[in-house]
Amino acid sequence: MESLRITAGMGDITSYETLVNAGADELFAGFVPFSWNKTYGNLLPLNRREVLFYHVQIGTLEDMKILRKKIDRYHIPVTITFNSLYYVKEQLPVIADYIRDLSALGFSDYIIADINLIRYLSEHCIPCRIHISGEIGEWNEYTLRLLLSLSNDTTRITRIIFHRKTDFRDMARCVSVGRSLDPALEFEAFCMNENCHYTGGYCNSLHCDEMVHLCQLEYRLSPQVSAPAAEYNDDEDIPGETGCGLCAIEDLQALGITHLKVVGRGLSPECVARDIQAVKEVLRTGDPSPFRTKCHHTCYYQKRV
Amino acid sequence: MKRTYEQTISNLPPGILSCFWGDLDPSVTECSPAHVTLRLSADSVIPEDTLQFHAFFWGRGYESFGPFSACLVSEEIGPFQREVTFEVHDEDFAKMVNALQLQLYRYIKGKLDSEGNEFSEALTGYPAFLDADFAKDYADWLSGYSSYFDQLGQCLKSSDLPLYLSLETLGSCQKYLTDTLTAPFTPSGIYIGNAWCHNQFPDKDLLLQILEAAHLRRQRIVLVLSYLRDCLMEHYTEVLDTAFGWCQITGQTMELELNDLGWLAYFEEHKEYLNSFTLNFGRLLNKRRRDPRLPYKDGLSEEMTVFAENSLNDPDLLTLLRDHNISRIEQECCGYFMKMPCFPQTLHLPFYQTNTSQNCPLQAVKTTGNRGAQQFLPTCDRACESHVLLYPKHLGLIGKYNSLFAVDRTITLDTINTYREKGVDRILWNLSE
Repeated sequence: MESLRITAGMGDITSYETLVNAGADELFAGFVPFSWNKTYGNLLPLNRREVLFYHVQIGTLEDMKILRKKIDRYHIPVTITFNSLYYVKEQLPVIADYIRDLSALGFSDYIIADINLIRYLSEHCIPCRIHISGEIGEWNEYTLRLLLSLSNDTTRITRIIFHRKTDFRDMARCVSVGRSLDPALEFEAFCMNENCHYTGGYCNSLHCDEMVHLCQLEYRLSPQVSAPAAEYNDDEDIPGETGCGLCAIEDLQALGITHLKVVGRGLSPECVARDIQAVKEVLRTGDPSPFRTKCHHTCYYQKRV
Repeated sequence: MKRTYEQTISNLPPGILSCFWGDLDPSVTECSPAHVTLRLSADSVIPEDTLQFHAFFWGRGYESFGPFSACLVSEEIGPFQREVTFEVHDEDFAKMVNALQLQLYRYIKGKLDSEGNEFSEALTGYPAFLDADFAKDYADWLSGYSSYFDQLGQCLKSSDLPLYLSLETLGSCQKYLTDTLTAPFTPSGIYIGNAWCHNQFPDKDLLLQILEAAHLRRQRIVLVLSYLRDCLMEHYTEVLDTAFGWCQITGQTMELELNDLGWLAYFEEHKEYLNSFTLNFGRLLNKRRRDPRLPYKDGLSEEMTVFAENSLNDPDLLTLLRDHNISRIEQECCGYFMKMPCFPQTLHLPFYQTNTSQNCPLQAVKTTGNRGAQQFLPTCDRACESHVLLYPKHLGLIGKYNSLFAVDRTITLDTINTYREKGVDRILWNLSE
């Protein structure tokens, strides 16, 4: 199973070596320079980590230069996330400029979730490789066809990232259709952490420093029922505390998935490294059963259609 | 050897302190009232320049500090980066660092110490003390808005806009047939189906009955198609063929509200349907910041004008949509004024969606006690007909079927008239019970 590659989230450049040494094959990170924060803050954010008080972004071009040097040394590439659900018109050329700046440093791959940004980059022939974020909703062949129609030789869609709640059947169909349209197309599926309760592409509420996510507010079922106590193991040393797909890795590979995502921006590098190592271990042995004996029961793919 | 300084803070997130040094934007790796350490690329040419800082403060946004003259006291060069430490002997610099330290301390302490949303209360004035107040049940929750909804109904009747009703649950479909639907007006048209949940769409027989009833009542028809999953394709093909066949027989046309980008490509490949159907850009595709707690968000003006536009205000996107046969946009009210693009538009009110899951959180809570144990349900046991998720009453938030919805409590006759002047030519009342 070792042909499957691991892509992991990185909160800042100091984590690079830790995640690489843990076995990540590639990383992804946010880049939000001061010019963006000054103009739009986290009201109209550049990506889905909409906070200022955490290390979840790279904030300077100097850090991007350092990161580039690390990539040149270790040969583990980093994809940059510009994955807000939407941008307003005036933001599109700003993002295109960021991409030009980053391209000049040698970055080439971007995770994007707004069809209008893809359209803009494509129409303006901005050289880049686009990973379609799961937040755009590409869980059917028709969306795939629509998005790939925006791809060209310069602004090229190279990867499809399936949303967390995409089931195997939809993945299989998309992989089959996607490969028929572009045999080199890559497919990424979530594997570890942050199995959100709502579909990210349909989540319009705040993710800010000063308030909890709307989905984390206390709620009550009405009328109440006596449901069984939820099965959960809160041991922090076990991988996949907030989402785990270790048991599904074999199925994902059989479906044609090429990359497994370990969500990590905002988590400690040590936690992300542990999760990468868990995925790596299952890829090496083909056997997730050691992780079943100690499990958080936060399955990404259990009982999917 | 690197010196140590009192009151040093390290690992500052770049979002709260930025530095510019000539043309360079080094990261601040640590600072104290007397020094700052900057990280820059190993091969960046060090400028002969002063240091300029931008610090973020709650309620005030970014503030500029400097330029400061600084004295280079140490430099460490590694294979990738260099770290340079300056001493800064300037009262304004010390004040900036002290203020940042205090803010960070309060933030971290608040996060660690607070229960529930007390932390938000301290930072933003969010009324966390109201979070313990829940309605008794859904009827009790709704009753809190009855006079507002009555008033809103009167406003709608006095406007001369076409008023449509939403049949977004199977219950409301049945009530429509028996003419027992509670609505403040007689509608000119109906929306059949549910943008958020595929399981709320009527089966073929019920759909045909509703189409016939609407035809008899001379009401326009909009079918609402939700997300497009592969396992739903057969179902939707039957829906489209049924509706298309009915249009052919009756000579009627109808609109389709599309809530998945895939539909745009689908109808490119199935243009024959467009003889009877026109296409609307649906609410699930219309991404916009929607959250009943927006009034407490730091940095927002009271009018929230920063959110007035979304990508649909870009004429180039509208061209792309027109090229895919979209002829109407479905907009939801959301607690602030939206700048409307030049396009025929429907305004849905008084509820707006904040979150949706394609799986069913409600069914997961009801059957397992764990909202995260949700599954995609091709068909379901209709937990939503008897159950809702209640949220703190003051938010006006409710969990129905697979989504969260909030009530827009700001709508007045003026709001409706202003939207009419800005291009809204239809109102959809989404409180059909």
